[in-house]
Amino acid sequence: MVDILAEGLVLGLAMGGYCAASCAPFMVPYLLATGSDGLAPRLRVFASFLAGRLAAYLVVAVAAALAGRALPDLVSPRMKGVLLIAAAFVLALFSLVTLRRKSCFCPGGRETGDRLAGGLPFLTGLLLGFNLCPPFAVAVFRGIEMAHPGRAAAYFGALFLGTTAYLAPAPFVSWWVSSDFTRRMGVYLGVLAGAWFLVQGVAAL
Amino acid sequence: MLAASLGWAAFVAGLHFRMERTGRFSFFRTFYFAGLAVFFLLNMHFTVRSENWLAPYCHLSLAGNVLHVGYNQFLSAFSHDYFRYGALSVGLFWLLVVLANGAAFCGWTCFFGGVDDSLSQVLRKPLFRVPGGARVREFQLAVLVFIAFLSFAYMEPEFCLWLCPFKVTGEILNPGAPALAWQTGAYVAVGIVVLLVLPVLTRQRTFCSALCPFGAIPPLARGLSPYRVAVDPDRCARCGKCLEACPSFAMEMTRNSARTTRYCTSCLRCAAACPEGAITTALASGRPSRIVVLVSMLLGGALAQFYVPGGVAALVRLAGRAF
Repeated sequence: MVDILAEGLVLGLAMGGYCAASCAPFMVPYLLATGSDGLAPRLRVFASFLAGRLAAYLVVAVAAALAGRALPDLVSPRMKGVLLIAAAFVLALFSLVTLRRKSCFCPGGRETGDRLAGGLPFLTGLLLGFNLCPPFAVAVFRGIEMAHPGRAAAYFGALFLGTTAYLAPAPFVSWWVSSDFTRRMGVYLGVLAGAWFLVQGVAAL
Repeated sequence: MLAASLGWAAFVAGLHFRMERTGRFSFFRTFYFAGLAVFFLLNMHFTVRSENWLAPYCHLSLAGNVLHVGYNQFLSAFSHDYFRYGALSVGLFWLLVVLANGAAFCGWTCFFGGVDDSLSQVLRKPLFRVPGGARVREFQLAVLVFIAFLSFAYMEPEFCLWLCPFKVTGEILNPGAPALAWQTGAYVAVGIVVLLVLPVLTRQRTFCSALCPFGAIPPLARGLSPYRVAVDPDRCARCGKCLEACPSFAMEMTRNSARTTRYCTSCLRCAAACPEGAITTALASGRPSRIVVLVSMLLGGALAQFYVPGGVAALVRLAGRAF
């Protein structure tokens, strides 16, 4: 179990910059738009947002594990390699597209979040947590491979902690998550992670 | 060995005197720096094959494995086996070196830096330039972060396995290891291209600027470094020759003049290229000073005592076999 937690945590820490760079620019204006001037109200909003993200992660974790259990032949060593290679290409592609277009590439995240930003931080976090960005796709694949809801939940929980580390300062220092530097760092980490998974995927074939 | 050590000390002193006498800091630095790399690689290559070889606490390895090493250091606190797990104490040594030498470490002291530094001066003009400017150095910081997390996850020195510059001298890993083919392939595709080929074609230190995990650290400590390479705005003609000459993506042009950024390694190629003589070494206060050259050669020369005598001995043995 410790190795599963460590893997999930490290994946989150390695991908967190990427996630923060892509999703936090939406989250921080939302935090500011709630109209709360004090730190405590903003923390409450932030906690609700994180609770929504965590709920999404756990739902996906259990779903992936149950899918893996129902279809034990779903994941073969060759398919593992193919999926890793696909995730790597998508990860690198999204990183480069983000670098050029400066856009949040969480599918539907920004528009949907805008509509709900009026008063539903939990649901906003839930929707952003369901986004299929490439690091999340890698984690889903691992959940299918584990085929055990408890282990998959632990993995995604650790992943959540790792990615949250990058978002945690947001209520205190809102400016940093919207900085171009943070966005670029997230993109670079995404490209590096894509290259790593590409090599792992090719080696697994 | 004593003779080789004394000879090396005399050589460094004489070289520094020559630099001060002629003012050709960049020119002599290039040969000095390349020599460090050559003798280090020679010494390591032949030492590794000996029975008494011990893994060195290389600064590149420590930078990439900082989380892994920190974990081992934590274990040492409970195991009392301090010497076995005390790699972080060597990390503290490298941190002190960075504080003493600043980013000039990358331009004067690092025993791997001479590889791509010397190759970046093979051609008179670059065939093309790596785009992105300072963004390349930001990518280097991402490499440090990524390698650190990856090494911690797998409890392996990932940078050493995949990208170590020493691998150009031959494979040092167990040839029976199953991952070896992939690591060698990745190294040829990425490491060798970025370390050996691109510096020649671009006249830029692409490995040291983009992939070296340790190289991301000195710029972070720029605020603590007392050394600068300063551009006199009154003399600067904004011709851009210094930007073309800089191999480390460390020059930028402002409205008034060119200026160095935090990534400057004090290699002084910009100063050698400047037709107006507007670029000099200085202290952080702006006062002109060449102390960074003295400190760099003292530090680099002292560290080189660990490997130059052995490298010279290896060279003599090679020459003996050849003739």
